[in-house]
Amino acid sequence: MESDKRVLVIIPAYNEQDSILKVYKTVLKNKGLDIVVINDGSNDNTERILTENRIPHVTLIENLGIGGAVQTGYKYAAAEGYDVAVQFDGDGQHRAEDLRKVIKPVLLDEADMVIGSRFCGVEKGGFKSTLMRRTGIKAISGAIKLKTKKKIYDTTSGFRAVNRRLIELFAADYDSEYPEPISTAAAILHGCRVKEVPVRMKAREGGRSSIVAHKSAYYMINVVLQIMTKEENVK
Amino acid sequence: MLNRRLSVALVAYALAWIVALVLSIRKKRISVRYSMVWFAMAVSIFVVGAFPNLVKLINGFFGFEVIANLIIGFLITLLAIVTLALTFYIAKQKKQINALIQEVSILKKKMKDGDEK
Repeated sequence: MESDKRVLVIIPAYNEQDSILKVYKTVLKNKGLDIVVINDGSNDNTERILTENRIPHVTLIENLGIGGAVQTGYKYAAAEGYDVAVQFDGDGQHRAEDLRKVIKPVLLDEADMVIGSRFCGVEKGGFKSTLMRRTGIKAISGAIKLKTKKKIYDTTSGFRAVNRRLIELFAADYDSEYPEPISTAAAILHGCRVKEVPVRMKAREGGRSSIVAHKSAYYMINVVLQIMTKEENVK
Repeated sequence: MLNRRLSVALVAYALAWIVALVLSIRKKRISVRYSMVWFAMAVSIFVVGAFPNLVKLINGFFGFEVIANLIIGFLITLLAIVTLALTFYIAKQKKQINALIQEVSILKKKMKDGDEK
């Protein structure tokens, strides 16, 4: 990357033996980025693949779920002094070609957080999600709007870049169950500049999404409650 | 009016609780800190059993038709408080355990990296 800032790509992976190597290789094509895979206590061959291919990784000694895994990445980034951290899914949903687009506004200090968004200025084709999930995303988006006065279109996107300030904030406090929308709301409430850039997402290459249809209602209520009860103007 | 037998039963029940708690603390099965809420419950039950007139007085305020309902309501409220307190502890411990797992895992990576160098 055309900057002296140090960028870390955090790739959370839970039982992603089918996709993790491919994902790592595509991210590696972007020069100047450090990568750390957070193996969230997988019980398939993920660990073996990571070790054999000498992929830098932290293996959680117990499964913590997506939030706990990603937070480990932020803690690592904070301890190792990174300026920018990017979250990139280990299941092959995100495209490495979009990495620069997501990182750039943070590098240029135009934003504190950039979300790779499926819904803003929609690029045709690519990822389509279920009706249930889209409804949930809309409800959460509404809650964020109500609470922060800011419209976020893709609240559940796990493709995001943050600067040092948010690395430190997330290292200290990050929701373990449904981190994306809640951390987005937290960032806005902390007075951070949050920006969305359009990206395309692919269908998953392996593993299972952490959001399963029958859990959608619970997910929605949980997230909306958490957002609405957040403290305001915590600067 | 609180039936005499019920009074005695409540006092005995409360005392049994207190004895069990003290024994548990001595055997280090429960820490004093987390036994507080249970002591509060036992003492409350004791007071209800030992001073029936107090219960009558209180019921004058709440107006239950049957005093037993007041006692049951009171105990349910106490249990709810205990449960709520436990929920707080669980949330706190989950946070601590998460942090522990994360830090240990990061340390393990650093140790492994150090070995390879």
